[in-house]
Amino acid sequence: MINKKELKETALGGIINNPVFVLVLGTCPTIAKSDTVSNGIGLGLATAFVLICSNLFISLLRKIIPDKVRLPAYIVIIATFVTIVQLFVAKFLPDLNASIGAFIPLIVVNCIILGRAEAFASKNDVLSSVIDGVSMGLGFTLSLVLMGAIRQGLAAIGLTIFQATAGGFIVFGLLMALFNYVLYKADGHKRRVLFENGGEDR
Amino acid sequence: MKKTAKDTLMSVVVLFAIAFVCVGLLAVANEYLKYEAKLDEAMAKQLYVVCPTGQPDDSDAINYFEILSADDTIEKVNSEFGTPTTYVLAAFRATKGDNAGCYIVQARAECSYGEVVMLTSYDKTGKIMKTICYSQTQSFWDSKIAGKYDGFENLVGKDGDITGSDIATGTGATYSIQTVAESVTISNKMAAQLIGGNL
Repeated sequence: MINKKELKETALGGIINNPVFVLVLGTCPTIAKSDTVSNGIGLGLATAFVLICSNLFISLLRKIIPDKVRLPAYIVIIATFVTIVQLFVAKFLPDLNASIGAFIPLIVVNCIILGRAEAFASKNDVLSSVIDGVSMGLGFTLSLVLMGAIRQGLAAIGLTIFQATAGGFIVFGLLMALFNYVLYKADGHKRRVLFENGGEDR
Repeated sequence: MKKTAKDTLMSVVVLFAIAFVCVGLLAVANEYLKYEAKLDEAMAKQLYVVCPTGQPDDSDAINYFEILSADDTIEKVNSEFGTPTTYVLAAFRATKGDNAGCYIVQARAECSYGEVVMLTSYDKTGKIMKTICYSQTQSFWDSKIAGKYDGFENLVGKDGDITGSDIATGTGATYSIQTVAESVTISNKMAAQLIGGNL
């Protein structure tokens, strides 16, 4: 059973080990679809839903899934939830579907989902895995929203390059540097240990 | 050897079991989330664009169209000409106004760059009057097609099979154009059935 300290670490994982700015996972959709806040919220929440559900299922089945076929098993589970999200967005959010629809099927191969399944959900209990999914999903959503707000704001004052992919790379790089600088200043010793241990969560 | 065979068998069984559960989940999701064509204000305004009925604006467009109860015909066309990703969604008819009696078909196609849903209207001989993109999720649409090739004027007066080159060449979005062609082609098949009286 998860103890209080582990619960806190897992719950704060989306910030301290932010999937976008610290773990540098899911960079492709981050840059491609963080051009507006609404796209960021849409894609972020869609990814978060898939992350939470796949973490839940994979954690539930972690003792049953043989090691040799774990990756195909994870992909089947992830693809199922992505298809459900795709059907939901197509039916109830047609405007969002027109904007980010091409990127929803690509959530299947988003490194955050498979990365958390492999690194966390397959080794931890259900509650921890769900908390990790919520934390990482919200961390990803917040990253996209932050980038979307900056890019949309800069474009609104005439710097339209920031809505293009090149501008996305620039904002991404600057935010990554800022994020890591602030976290290093706030929690330098622990972060050094984190990286010396190869980025493992615990 | 015996252990390896047992492990392999176990792997296959677990994968099958997971696939079975996932298929069940998707079947339930599909039941509640599948697309259902309906004639609402937004759809009526799109129908007015593709099949103008003569009134000064589209404010009461919903009173000029009806959705056809053509499930059997749609199923027949989809099973004969469609694929799992290319199929007719719905058929409509103008009930009054300038183009009263004309059919409009809504059809969808998909490629690896996303989906396209087209609305195509037909004159009484089954030739295309106008076709527009109802919705799309194509990644190259905005940069390569929108504002340049999305008028689809070349398709007016055509019927039967449509190819990408009938629409435009050298667009830089060949697959997207081909997807539009597939969508319009299956619409044409549906229109032929409707005009042939197979409702």
